[in-house]
Amino acid sequence: MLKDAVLDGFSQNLNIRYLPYHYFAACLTQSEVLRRANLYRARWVVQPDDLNTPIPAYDTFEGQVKVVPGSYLWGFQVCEFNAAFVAVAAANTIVQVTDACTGIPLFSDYTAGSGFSPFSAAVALDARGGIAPHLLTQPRLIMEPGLLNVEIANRSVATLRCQLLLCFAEPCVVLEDEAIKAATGTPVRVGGGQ
Amino acid sequence: MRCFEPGVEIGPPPAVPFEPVSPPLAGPVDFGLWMGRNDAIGAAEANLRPGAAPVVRRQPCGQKMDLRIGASRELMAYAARPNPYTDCLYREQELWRRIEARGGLQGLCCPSMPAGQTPPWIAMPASGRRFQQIGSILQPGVEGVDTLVTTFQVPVGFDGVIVSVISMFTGGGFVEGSGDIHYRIQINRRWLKDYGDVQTTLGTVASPCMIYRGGVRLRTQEVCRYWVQLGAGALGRLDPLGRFVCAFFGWFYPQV
Repeated sequence: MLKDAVLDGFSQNLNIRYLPYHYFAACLTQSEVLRRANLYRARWVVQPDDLNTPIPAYDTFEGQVKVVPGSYLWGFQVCEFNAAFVAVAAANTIVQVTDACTGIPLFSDYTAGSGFSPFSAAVALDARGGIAPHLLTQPRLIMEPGLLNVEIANRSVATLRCQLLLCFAEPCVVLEDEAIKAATGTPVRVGGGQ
Repeated sequence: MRCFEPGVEIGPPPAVPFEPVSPPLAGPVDFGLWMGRNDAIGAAEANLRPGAAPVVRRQPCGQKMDLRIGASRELMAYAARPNPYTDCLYREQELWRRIEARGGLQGLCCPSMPAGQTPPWIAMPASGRRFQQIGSILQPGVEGVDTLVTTFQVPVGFDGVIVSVISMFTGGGFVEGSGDIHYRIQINRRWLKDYGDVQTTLGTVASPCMIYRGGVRLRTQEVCRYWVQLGAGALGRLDPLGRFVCAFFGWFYPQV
């Protein structure tokens, strides 16, 4: 049975080239169930909230992201900002994201932000065809309590300004369930659990 | 992302009676809502079905839009039910809830840490290996440059924890916190939180400085380095025969 094409930003973005055997296309394939699911909405979270938050030299920023349990993390992106707050390549940023529920980190160790920046440190223009945000190999489920620990380390000898963008798909509450909750006082289901 | 009830993605469509609809020919249409509810595909099927005449509905009296094609701003138009793909995600979440309820992946797959036992990064297990990595260098004689004092690497197959450290200068002339000396701990290529720019002495060889409220956990093959840097004008104030002594104390344990 042939399925209908998915209508979303990935299928309508003309900047995405047809490269069916590349990483990006493979990731999109792994995301197909999520892309076709209804009752999920996009939620993009940045850390730190203020892009003017300085991370001192030799220091590490630590933050926590709260999302609805049952959300899926499907992509991320790292940018640094120069003195004029123009986004540049994240050459001095290293990041780590850990699921507070399971304690399992996203990366085996802190990873260089330059690999996940839409800007190239070499030409300071773009990532030469790279597509942002960077997709995970498959969307990652965030279970209760829906917390992610974010660590952004500055490995340079100067103060740094940067932001980590995390792209989530967040479950929506069905209105009928809201009505049930209002009538009975029982919790509203937002995922597979009762 | 896998659905653990295979075939649901390509299975038969949900058993809802087919109701051919078509877009309204007149009146305001909110295409944003229309597309967002995936009703556009249903409308296209109605139009493309061989021999099917397009169904034109009259605008319901008293309403701006037709509820049946999802182009309504009425609240209940949003009360969509999960489609098969959402159900697939819900089942995946339910599976993970069951896994978590049974101790998570670590509890289910080859648990190497018996329930109730203190984690090996809190208390050294019998299979652990202590380490105390102490290094010492003469005053480097150059300002503004990081100089390595000591380093070590976590052995393959082991994780570790640093529970105490030392950073001290044996000569005279150093005033605590003056900025003449900067100690830095680096793990791989990142500076350790709160230990990236320490301007005071930490502990002594006889009494190392404890890292309170938990140590610094290390992963296998991580490289730890203790650096020292002299601030501007420090050479004129510090004893030239003094030595810098830096050390790590802790233990390695087999990965759990």
